[in-house]
Amino acid sequence: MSPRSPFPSDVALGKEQLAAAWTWVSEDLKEALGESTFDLWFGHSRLIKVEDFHAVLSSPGAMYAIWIEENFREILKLNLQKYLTDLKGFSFDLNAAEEEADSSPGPVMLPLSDNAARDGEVAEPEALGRPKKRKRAKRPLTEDELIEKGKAAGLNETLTFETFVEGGNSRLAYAASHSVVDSPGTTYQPLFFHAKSGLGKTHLLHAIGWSFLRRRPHSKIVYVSSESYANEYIEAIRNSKEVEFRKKYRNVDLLLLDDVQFLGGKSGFQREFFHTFNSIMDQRNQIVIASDCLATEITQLEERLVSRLQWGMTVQIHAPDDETSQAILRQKRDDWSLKVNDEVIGKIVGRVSNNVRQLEGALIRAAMVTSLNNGSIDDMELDELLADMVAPEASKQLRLDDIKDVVADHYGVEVKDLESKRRMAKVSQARQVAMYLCRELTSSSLKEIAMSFAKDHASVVYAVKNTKKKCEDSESMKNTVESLRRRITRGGRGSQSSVSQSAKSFREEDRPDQSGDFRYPGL
Amino acid sequence: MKFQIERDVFQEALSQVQHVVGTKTTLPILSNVLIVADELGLELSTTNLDVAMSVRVPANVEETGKTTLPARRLGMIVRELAGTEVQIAVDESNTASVKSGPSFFKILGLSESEFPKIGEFGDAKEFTMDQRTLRDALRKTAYAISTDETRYVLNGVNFVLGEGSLTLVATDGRRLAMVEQSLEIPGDVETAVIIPTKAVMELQRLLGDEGEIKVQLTASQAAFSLDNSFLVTKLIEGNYPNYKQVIPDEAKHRITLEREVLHNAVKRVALLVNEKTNSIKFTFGDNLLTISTNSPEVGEAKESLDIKYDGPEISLAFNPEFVMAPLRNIDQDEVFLDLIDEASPGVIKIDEPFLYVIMPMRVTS
Repeated sequence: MSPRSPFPSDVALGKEQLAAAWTWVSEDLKEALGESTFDLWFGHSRLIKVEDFHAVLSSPGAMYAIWIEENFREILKLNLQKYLTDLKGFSFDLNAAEEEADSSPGPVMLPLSDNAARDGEVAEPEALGRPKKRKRAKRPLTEDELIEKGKAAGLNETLTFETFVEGGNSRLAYAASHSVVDSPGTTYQPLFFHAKSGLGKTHLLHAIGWSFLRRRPHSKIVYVSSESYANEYIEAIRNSKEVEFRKKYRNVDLLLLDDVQFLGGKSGFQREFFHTFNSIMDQRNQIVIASDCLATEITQLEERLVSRLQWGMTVQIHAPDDETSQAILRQKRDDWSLKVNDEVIGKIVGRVSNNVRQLEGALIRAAMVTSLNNGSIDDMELDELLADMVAPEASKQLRLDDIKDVVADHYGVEVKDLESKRRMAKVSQARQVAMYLCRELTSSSLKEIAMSFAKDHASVVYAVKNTKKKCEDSESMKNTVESLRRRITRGGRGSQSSVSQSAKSFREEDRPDQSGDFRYPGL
Repeated sequence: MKFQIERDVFQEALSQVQHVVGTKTTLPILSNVLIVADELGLELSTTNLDVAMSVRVPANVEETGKTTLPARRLGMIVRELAGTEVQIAVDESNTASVKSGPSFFKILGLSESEFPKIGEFGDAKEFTMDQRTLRDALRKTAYAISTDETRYVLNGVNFVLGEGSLTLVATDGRRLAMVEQSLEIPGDVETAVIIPTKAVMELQRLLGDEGEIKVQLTASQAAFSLDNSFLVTKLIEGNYPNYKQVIPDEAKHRITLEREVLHNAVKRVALLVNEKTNSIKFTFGDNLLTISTNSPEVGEAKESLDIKYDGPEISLAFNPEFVMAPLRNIDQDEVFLDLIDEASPGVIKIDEPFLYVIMPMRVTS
């Protein structure tokens, strides 16, 4: 027999290689554990796949798999690593064992595997009676198939790394995204993006998806927003297809979950997601999550989920600076072949807040006008054109923390003082004003505000009432609050009243129901 | 609604149903206890949507009715009351006036119409057994339930019914406890269900020495009816892994040990267990069992027990807690330890249909 030279573990191994590696591992395990122990636990197992630094073993039953993982994880991994260079982990495929045992067609696990089998070059010996489901005999996908597969996974074709404009605001997020594609399931596990809306979280999720898929065409990827995830879960419960649902989400190589903040307050989904999360982590697969706030700031998110979301790498994407904004718009202009010159782009960036989605909208409007005007647009026209794009967006975008920042800054206290129990006059005045502004300027409920200040909702009610009264009684107080309000809403342009109005009406109607979104069946 | 009840009786009943009420509930109604007053007395019910239970107690009902009141708050009040009798009157707005001796409380409740209804058990499979038998079987297995939430099928006790017996199994991947109880069951009751941990705990609290328990099983729920109480639980979905795979076929050596002596010895040696490895060593030599531990930072401990053993010397390392858990939960004086070799699972047995498989830990030298 040839000397034992390790195989690489990042590429799919052939049948003979798998068999050879398993023979060597078996011999070493026998030596370490003794023949009888080896036979008892590993005798029926085989190495059936090695790919992407991950080994898959067959197991004759779930109980074996569990006991091996509990009792022999380390020694098995160690011995696998001896012959599979850089191997990161292993898992068991119970279906594979069933196939071997009772030779009935097992459930199809990978969406493409039947495809691969159909085109498989090697005819399997019929005598064995196994289904022709060889994950090994995979041929590269054509470009069309790849794009089809990406779309089926929920990816948007236009959102790739190539179309993402990297700036100082997103450098870290961009780098982290790439390293997730390079070595999934290891360092940044999970990768958690948080940013206000329109700054590129979703774009990065999709880009990771595409790049991951190109690198590993046969991997299983799912992109989903937490809202669709929840809806699908409800559907699954309604149609008693929970097992199918779990299979879909728990056995993926890469899960891209967008807008995770919607899980706040929905304990049923949180529990389901908790298990999805753990199962993906267990298999050393990758999770990337986007949210519009930090995990700790998602209201009513279970402690154990918060801690898990914080486990890996948390990256904030900031608003782009003006240069980056301009670069983004120039690229968009080129992508969409719009006739807008750099000067106009400069003016748009100066007028519209640094939210990429809005910038794009403004660009399209400007392009329309300039195409009618033979390529020119003057400042007046531009002002008019973009007038509606500033205030309302700003009001909806406000987060409690933005308000706290400005108020704390004004009163010369720390944000953490506002959230503390300190009762110094300066701090408590600042806290009351901050609570008042939170109530006035955001759509947050009393309870949410109270929680963010670590107080009860009665304190918020009192703070709002008290501040209102002080404003009525004292001109200087009124001015202070008004100037803070302006600072928070970025100048406001005399539309403060409409801001708070719209915030209020938004509060009543659009708030998602925070309590029990679905009831458990049965009880 | 208006009733009078003995304070102790009321407190006992409240404490029985209170465990189901979680501290963090998403729906306010789930923090409340449903109180139904009728001619027979009171029925108190709580639920967390996974488990629901109710208890019946005698009371002097002057005016029948239904309401729900905050379970914990009511429990605390009743516990602190000085009088021996409690009088409760509830008005249409679900406000309860609680009077006892010199004390008076007014607590706000919620309408009973919000309280989740317990599902029907129309076409359930059904059997009855002695409470005591079930209690003992649960006690002998429940401690081995896995607490690892990622392995949710193991987060409960597996009930297997068929061929004239009820088998209970719990495992966490390092040990497995099993009780096989012969039982007269109707022919059509042949099924396997997983009862979640929470329900197992509550059930153990309800079960007594005397009387029978009726068990009803549907595809998704189980109901347990006792004389004065009732418990319904959702079942854990999925299939319990085939536990027979990890039970060794036959033993090479059988060592008979005195349960209490072994338990106490392990308990003492475990005092100096190394926190990192968390294992103690069992060495079976010539008619002598030595239990020892040795950790460089702490020190060492050693106990010797006389046994009847003439096989080759075998050393195994076990997690002391895993050895003590079954010993604490069985009553027999004598236990048998079946061994194959140093690396194979050990099995603790008694002269009743119980077995406990325990994996030796591998000691890296």
